[in-house]
Amino acid sequence: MIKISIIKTKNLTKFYGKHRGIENLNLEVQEGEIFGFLGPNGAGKTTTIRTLLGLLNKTSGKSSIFGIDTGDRKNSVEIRKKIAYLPGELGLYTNMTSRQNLKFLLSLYDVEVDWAIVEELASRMHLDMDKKVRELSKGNKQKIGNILVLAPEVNLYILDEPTSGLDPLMQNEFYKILKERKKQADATVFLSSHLLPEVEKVADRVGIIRKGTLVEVSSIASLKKMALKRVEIFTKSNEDAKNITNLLPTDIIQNQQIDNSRLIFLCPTTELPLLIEQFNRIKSQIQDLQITSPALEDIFFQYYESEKDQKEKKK
Amino acid sequence: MELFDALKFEIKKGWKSMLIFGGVIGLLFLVLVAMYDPAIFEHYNEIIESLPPELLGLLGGQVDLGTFSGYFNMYTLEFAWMWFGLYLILKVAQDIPGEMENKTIDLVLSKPIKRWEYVLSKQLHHIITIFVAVTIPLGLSLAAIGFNTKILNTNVNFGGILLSYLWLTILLWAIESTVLLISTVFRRRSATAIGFAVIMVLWFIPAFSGSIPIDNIEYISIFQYFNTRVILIDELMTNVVRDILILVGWSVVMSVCAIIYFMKRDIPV
Repeated sequence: MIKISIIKTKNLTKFYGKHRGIENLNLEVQEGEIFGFLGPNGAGKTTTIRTLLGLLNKTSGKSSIFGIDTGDRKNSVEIRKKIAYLPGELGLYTNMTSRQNLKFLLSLYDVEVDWAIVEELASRMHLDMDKKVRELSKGNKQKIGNILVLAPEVNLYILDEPTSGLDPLMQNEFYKILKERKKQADATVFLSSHLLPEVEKVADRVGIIRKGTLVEVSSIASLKKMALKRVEIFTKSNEDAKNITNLLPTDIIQNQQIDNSRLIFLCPTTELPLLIEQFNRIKSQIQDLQITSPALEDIFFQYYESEKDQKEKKK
Repeated sequence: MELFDALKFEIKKGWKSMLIFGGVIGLLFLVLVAMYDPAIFEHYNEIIESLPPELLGLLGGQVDLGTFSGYFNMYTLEFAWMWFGLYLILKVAQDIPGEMENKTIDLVLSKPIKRWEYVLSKQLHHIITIFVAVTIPLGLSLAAIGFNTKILNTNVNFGGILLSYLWLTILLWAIESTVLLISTVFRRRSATAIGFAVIMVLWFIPAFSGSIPIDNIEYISIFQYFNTRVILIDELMTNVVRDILILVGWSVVMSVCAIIYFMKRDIPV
């Protein structure tokens, strides 16, 4: 089945004067998927989103949502009718109550949002709708933002750090509701975050942005596959751990650490058979062994190892 | 239409300050009118006459404070733009830049509202604020006239007073639209400072035009086109319609420029 691209960018570039926001960003988000968009601060995640939404004017390149050019001001309203956007830095009217904020912001959609849904979401997220926003904690303010995106029936959710400030239970509840809403409308989710374990849990594919350019797009599974494995060897003593280090092929192991009698290092998945052969020879010194898939964070940091660090390594 | 939803919200957000603002200025006008006594104020004519011409220009020119029209024109209308305008400049200069700095604009403009609708909703709210803020002092001024027998015994030009308030409303719209344009370009603090500076310069130009070596420079100022003494004191309509139309034209041009600029600009992170 041919998947339709809901978001598409070609060489999308945004410069703030001389400073790069994003440069030649090529991205395709397909219909119905949850696309994780990862990157550290300043990588260009928010610039990408704001350019897509027409809040920023692109410097060059092309971008479209639902096949409509995002740079076309006349048509951008058509795009925004079908989008729910949650910004990373949520700005609310602090002198108004949660209810007043939601009523106003949801009234800006052409189609009237069913207020019963809003009430239900508020109840599921334990939000007091009649408190003034300035009296709410960061987490509760975030809940208003969450309700704001979850209440309208839209085809695309653009979420920038949607669970920032929420406790783990609420984070789970948010993703549970998001999945329900997504299923109802067969919607697409573009999820920008640096909370990698979260993205790992919900995303179908992940794009990694570095210095304004997309460096990798992959499924979570293949990203993990091509990545390193985390190996932990438990020995009787510190000495044993050091001996084992000397016996291991240094060209395939990385980030080696000895913590008491525990030896930890990273190794490419493809080199694991060779490593296991080595273990066979030294099995008397090994008390226990753990080989785990690294968290997305470990993969992530590979892409973000700064050039400086890489140069230092080369030296 | 999203424009009206946004306007409704603006009014809901600001109705209290709108009424307080109108009420405070209304009370000031009430006191100024209620305290008028021609026997007392005609003595101030000598002081007024001795003022340097530039300063007299800022006060609206030589008037006879022994008549209510002269007193009312100098004490309320000539300074009315300041009572209303200073608050208005603060409010308008901080409105859109404030939403940008507080990030509320992101949530609004990511919804299907057009940018011109957003700016227009802000401006309509400002205009309603001006209207309410001018109407309350007008009502209280008229009430005070009704209670002050020293004024009632004279020939009060009620039509002139009403027209003067209308003219004042249009001048305030011209001030609002000028600051609105500035507020779409600059950040909150800069917009406030530049807004104040521009309006003050425009106010000074007609009075000090004689000292500025540019011919007819006074005509670039909106204050040149606000001269209620023609109606109240001279009881004429010379150039009144022309001046009102110029102020309306200025306001429309400034508003259109503000909308066009805002539609094209980046909304910064």
